[in-house]
Amino acid sequence: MMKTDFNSVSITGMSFILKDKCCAVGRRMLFSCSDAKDACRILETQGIFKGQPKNWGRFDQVSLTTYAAALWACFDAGLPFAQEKRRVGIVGFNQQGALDSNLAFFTDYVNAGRNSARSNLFVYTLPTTPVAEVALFCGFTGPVWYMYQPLGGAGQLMEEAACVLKDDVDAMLVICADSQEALCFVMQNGKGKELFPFSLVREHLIGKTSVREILQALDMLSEGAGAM
Amino acid sequence: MITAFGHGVDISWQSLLDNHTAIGAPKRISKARFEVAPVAESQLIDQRSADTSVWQLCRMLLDDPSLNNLPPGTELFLSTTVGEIELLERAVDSKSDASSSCLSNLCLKVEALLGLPQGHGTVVSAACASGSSAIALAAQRIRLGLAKSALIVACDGVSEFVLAGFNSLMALDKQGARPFDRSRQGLSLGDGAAFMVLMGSDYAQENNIPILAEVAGWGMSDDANHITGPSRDGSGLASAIKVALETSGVSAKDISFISAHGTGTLYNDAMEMQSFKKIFQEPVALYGIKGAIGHTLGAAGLIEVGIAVHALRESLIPPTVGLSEPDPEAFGWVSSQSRGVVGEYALCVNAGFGGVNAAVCLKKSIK
Repeated sequence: MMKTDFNSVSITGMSFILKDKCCAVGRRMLFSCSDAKDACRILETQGIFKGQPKNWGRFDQVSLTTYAAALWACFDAGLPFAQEKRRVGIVGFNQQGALDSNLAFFTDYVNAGRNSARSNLFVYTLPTTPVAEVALFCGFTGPVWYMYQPLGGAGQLMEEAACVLKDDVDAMLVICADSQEALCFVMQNGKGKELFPFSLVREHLIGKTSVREILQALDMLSEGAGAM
Repeated sequence: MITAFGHGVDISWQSLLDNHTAIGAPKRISKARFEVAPVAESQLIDQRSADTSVWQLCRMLLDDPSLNNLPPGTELFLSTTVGEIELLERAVDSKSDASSSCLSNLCLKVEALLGLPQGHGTVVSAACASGSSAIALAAQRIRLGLAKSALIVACDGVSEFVLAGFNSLMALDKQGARPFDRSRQGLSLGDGAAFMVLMGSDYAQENNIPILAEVAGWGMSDDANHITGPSRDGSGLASAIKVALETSGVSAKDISFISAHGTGTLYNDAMEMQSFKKIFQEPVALYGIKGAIGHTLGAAGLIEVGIAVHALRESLIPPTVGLSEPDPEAFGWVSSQSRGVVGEYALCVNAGFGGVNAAVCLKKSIK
């Protein structure tokens, strides 16, 4: 069996949301912000995008950072969202999964005397919920899943996303998010508007499992690529 | 596989054919103060053990001689939704650290148990479609030549955590799950674990490894409609089925039967029927097994594909346990009797929170 190549896959957008800044990498737009909600507000004040998910108020922290990173990355790639439904897939990853939300849900239930639990907290006890919130708001109907592989890290997950991209979707978002920071890549087929060469990025991100590790690896990469 | 019926495919298969249900009064959930709905608990789990229920299931499941000779480089995929969530329950009760409950930690434990290199395993979680999504992702790597073989391990157990959550959503049936029944009221949770080994057919044939069935194709999608409820019109699942048929190179008329997700909730089962009717012009023999073994969450997809493989090989599908009077939308599709089927292809579908959908198309192996 021939091993497939990913020559046609391009990274067309990238964003990151940190504790004090947010960035659309390809557009070289870097803003100070106080948190993920603030990062979304900046999109509004810049006239880039207006609107909020209807459940915005109940989002857990990982959903907030995931959502902000996704919007900034779609903007960076020029990928339309929150309009008509599009076959775009999303894979999310982090080391802890939904640990913080699991704790919030079960602690609340125990503190309430184990009589009843709160459904609006239960919803966030799945590691897929943050990426599903993005799919719901953006109208993305491609595959949505959570995946984590320590040794392969982000590089491995980008390969998985590229596999799906070869099949049947217009674009894939790859999102690494924790409760305070997040990072998102947009991957598409075609070479026209490539931000980073996919193969090089995949290689550099093998074993990188956190936002900081990924950014550090890409800073090293940018010395050669001059992308950031 | 391990279900509430016992250990091994045969016992679950026979219990299904006998129209038995393993759903009954819960025994392990003792601290909850709400009225706990019936569940399908494994009698193999020792409540006195310090190990969690899920870890006990994994240890029993993976103590299998067939796993001693996995092809070199076999990739591990762990499918689960909450894993060892009992560790978190205990941590909250004792006010201690809960990080050992992370899914990634369970994956490391499974690797160690199997003697695999640490950190190579991949956690896949896609809500209640985790199992079938893991099959799709692993099969894709094999088809693209990125992996020779994959071991998929799936597990989830009945827990106070998940019961409290589904209770809060009013999604549990106090009489036990009755998928596709006119009077269904919700789901029942169940203990479940399963493993499956996938490999390229060339490799299997070269090494004289028996092929039970072929994963012919797969599709995944999201409804982008509601965070807990399925899309009313079934378009999301229909899209996953359409992709699964296309990647299999078959048409709807080639499908001899459908293993449905069939949770027993009003909205899920109605959504599924809508999606099937978008794809299939005429009723196709359909069954669901959650009225017998409960909803095993991250294990459900793998267990259901395992049962479907058995059904393909036997040319026989089990009854939909719990069915008394079919919902009018499902009439002519489901049955409370086992049925003989002809044909080479089966379709297995799953759907879950966040609007995630997955469909896997199986092809009967040539014996």
